[in-house]
Amino acid sequence: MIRLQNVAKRYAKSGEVLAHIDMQLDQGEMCFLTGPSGAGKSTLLKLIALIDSPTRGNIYFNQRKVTNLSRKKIPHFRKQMGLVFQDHRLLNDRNVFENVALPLRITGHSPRDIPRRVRAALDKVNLLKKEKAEPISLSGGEQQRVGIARAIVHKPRLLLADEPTGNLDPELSIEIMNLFLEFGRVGVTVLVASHDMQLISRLQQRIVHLQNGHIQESNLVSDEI
Amino acid sequence: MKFEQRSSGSSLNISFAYWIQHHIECAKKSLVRLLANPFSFVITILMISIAFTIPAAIYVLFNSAQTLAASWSNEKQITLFLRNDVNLQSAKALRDKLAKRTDIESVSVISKDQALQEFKQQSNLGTIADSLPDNPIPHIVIATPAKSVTELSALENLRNELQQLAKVEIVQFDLIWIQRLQSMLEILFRVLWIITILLLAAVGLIIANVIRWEVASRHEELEIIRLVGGTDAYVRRPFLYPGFWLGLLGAGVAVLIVKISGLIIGSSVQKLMTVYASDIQLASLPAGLVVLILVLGGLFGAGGAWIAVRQRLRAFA
Repeated sequence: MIRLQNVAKRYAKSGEVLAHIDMQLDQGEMCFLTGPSGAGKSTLLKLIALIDSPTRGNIYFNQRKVTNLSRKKIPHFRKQMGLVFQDHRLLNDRNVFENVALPLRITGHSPRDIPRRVRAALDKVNLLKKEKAEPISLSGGEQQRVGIARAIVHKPRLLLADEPTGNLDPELSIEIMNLFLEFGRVGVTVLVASHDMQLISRLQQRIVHLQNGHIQESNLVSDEI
Repeated sequence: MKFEQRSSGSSLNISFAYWIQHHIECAKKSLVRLLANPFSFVITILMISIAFTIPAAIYVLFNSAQTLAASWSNEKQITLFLRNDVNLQSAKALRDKLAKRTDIESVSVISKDQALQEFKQQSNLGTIADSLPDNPIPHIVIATPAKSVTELSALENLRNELQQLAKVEIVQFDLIWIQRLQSMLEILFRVLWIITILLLAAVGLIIANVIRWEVASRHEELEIIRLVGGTDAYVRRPFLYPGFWLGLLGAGVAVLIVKISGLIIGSSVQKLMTVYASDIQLASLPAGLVVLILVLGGLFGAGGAWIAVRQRLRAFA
């Protein structure tokens, strides 16, 4: 579904962040992207989400080259993915329901359809009762779950998450990761960046390890845990 | 696999209905947002309305002056004041002679008695005229040039020829200063254009500046909407409407200002024009121009906002 071919990214200030990335992610595959901070995890996700474009190499989405996609075509591409950010990026001027409804409103879903889908998404992250709450009144874990609900409400085929558990305690982190595993099980392609090796290694999924802009190993961890 | 595309007609209809709905929603919400800050709202509206009032007012003045000039230049009558020793008989002979010329359409004679009578009636100076021992007014011949003679130089030649006639004392023919007035009006018209363009640019910039602050304060919202798949148009829309409203309302206030000023000045202008024996009135804003001002207001408002958002949008992928 996603294929990166000889991708490199160089920033004027910080130099080469990604050196030579070849990677493939199949439809319905679940993958964790790990490595020390500064290894280029976020950059890699940004390239896939077309927030940034690679200095070299190509990115394919469903066999279609999306590198240097025109500004106009990017939204259509983004509608097929869900993005989860470490800092949730919720809009504080509207309640939980409206935050989750945002992708549906943007894509022009029928207003009759929206409440049903928003509630289904909130139900998945166990926040059905908080739909009227202001994001700011929620705990960090709850805010992150609202962010996840927003990322999945439009049933994306690809879910990208950048350190979704970065600010959460271990228990909440497991809860969030289990959510991602669940989406993976229903056929969503999931790519989660996290530096929390301990947590990830327990999930028994494919792990891509980034170091100094290179992929160090790409393997299925079959741990004893 | 290809990108999913909504292809069925019904979902397209839903999208279109939603698109309309989003426009209405943006229009309403932006108005509410503007009104939430009434002070800066009023200040901005006034700035914009002043920018529109100036060219509109100049246009009105220009238009009035032009109608006036046109009406004056249509009165292409050449007045020949005859020498005092010319009697009515030879005045009539002159009339008949001039009437034969091809460049003259009609000629008439006003006898000195008639002229005095008219003077008494028109000028309220009857008593003074009565006190005069003699009628100081000579016989007058009025010649109207043929319609075919329109060139200023031809009229000039005609005037000079008539001046040469032995019986004629003075030829009065005021075409030149009308011509001068018209060329001055032409310059004024160009100035009007320049001022209009400059002030329209000012309207765009005023609004762009207001919207720039609005965009800056909602920076995060823009970025998030873009990240969850909002198109540039979708992100832009909520900002185009406040620009549109500011421009439209500013233009509306400008129209009101011009109308009210017209009412205040109008009656004095009419008095002045009666003195000039003219029934020209101060032109009002024609309906077409009112519509144009409102359209330009809305257009430059939305345009200014567009520029302001565009600058911000470029920061996001």
